[in-house]
Amino acid sequence: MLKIGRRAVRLPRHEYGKDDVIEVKTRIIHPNHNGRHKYEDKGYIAQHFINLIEVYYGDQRIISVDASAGLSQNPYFTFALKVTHSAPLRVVWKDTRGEEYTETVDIRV
Amino acid sequence: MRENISRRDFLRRSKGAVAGVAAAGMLGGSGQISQGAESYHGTPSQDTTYHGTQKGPPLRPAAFVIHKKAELAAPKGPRAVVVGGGWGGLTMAKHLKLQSPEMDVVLVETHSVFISCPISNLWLAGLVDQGFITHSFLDAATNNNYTFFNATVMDADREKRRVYTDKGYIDYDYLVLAPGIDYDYDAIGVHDIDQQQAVMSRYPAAFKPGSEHLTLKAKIDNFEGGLFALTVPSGNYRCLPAPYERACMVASVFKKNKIKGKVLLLDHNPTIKIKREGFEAAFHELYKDYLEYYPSVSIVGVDVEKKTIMGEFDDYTFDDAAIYPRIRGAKLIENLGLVNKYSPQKEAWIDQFHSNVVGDERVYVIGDSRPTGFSKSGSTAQEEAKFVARVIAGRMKGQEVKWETPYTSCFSMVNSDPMEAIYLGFKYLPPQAGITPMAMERVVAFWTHTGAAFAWRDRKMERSEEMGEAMLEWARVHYNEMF
Repeated sequence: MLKIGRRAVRLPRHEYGKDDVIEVKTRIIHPNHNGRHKYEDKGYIAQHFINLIEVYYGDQRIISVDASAGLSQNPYFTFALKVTHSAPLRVVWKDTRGEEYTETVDIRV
Repeated sequence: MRENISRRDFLRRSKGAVAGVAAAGMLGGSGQISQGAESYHGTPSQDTTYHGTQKGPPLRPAAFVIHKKAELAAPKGPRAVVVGGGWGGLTMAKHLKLQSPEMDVVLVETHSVFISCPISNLWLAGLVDQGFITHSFLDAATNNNYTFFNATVMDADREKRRVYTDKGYIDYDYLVLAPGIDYDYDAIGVHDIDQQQAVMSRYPAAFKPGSEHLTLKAKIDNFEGGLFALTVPSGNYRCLPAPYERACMVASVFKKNKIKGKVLLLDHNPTIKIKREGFEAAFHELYKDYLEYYPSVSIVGVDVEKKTIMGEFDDYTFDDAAIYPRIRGAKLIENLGLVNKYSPQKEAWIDQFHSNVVGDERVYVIGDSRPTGFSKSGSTAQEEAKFVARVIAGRMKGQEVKWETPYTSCFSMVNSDPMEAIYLGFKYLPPQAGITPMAMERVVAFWTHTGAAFAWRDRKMERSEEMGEAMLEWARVHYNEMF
């Protein structure tokens, strides 16, 4: 019942003053199999992990993470963001099977 | 309208009245208590007993604890006091007596009835009756030739080798502490003492057997529908598979009684922590419509009024719940000043090859208050207790017993109709011959962090009725070891 792709982005709140610095937390449920673990008797578990995480603030891409097989299960990232204008904040996770997961939250100044 | 009357107000207002006499009596009493407290760690000039020949007013309770000798027959040999009558303590008391028959063993336990935490999930689902998991301490003591003393330990003086209980003190030659666990609600963001009380009494964790289990049983039996939340804590918690087994058992009750309810299992860990294949299969194949599993949920608060568990990312509203917070070593260990300051769960500071308190070969800590990464389970506690009993018996004769790691056997019931279980058994990594100190250090560090260095491992992840029967047999064998 592990729901791959269940994801969340959490902001401290939604309304801010201009130039506030806030901490954004992100997390996605993903097994992140690195391809080197074995089943008890059925050979290796196929590689399946998040390999790209991008964050867009409005139209501008502000973060791009080249993730690799070393990433943990259910990866959790936080970062600091300086709020400059009202715009949606969009986090995109892509995995090695070509799946794309997106989560958007609104930031208002 | 009634005013709030403080005790001070009460004393002032009732001056001269009949109540004044009682109040004066109370003051006199508390005066004596503080006197007793001052001399607490000092040496009382003589051992006076409450009913003895002492002159003056009777001792108040605090002084009573210090000055009265517990009403126990005089020891006929070296006396060992075992504190805590759980799986570790009961096995310890029996095996101390078996290893050194000349020893006089006293088991001090605060409860008067033994209720087993292992197998209690089966009872919650109605698969065994309460008699199966309830046992008598008196039987244990009579059958195994030691003394059961129904009291609560309050303090110990290691210099005088004396342990203080609410029914007087006991002098010991060897002291074994097996006090188990306490809950750490701060770790799930419940800091306020009244909030902690509210969560503890309304949504008890039911991992310390007794009223908590009875409350949870009633909750499950009377559940009418909706979401029933269970949580899996962080850290090395008591019985790793138990929350998953419990989720299966509660879901099986909903399934059997056709209740429109779901178990909401909120797990701090990124995935099922132990026996993953077995539990995953059960979740998918047996309880698809009765169970929701959410991994990586760190709980940051509980709102009792709104029936909501706050996760770091999402909030989960429930209709009823049993909230299992993070656990820590028993508070008794902390009160005695024996906490290992490097232990994130406030466990005891012991020599992990012999289980004695560092620098004191008369005091031992076993069971769930130990700091090593061994699983906090009944089976492990029994195996450990047998080894430590040999250590103590050996040291009485001036011999050192070679270190031995415990093994553990662990069944989990996943289906109730028919009764099907899964199994995992393993032995923790033993010391290698000729191992270098550096390698040894790595092994120890590995345990402390993961608790997962195995010498051998045996797994049966496909649930079967055969394992279900083996599980009940396991319980009988283990109960037999204690009673």
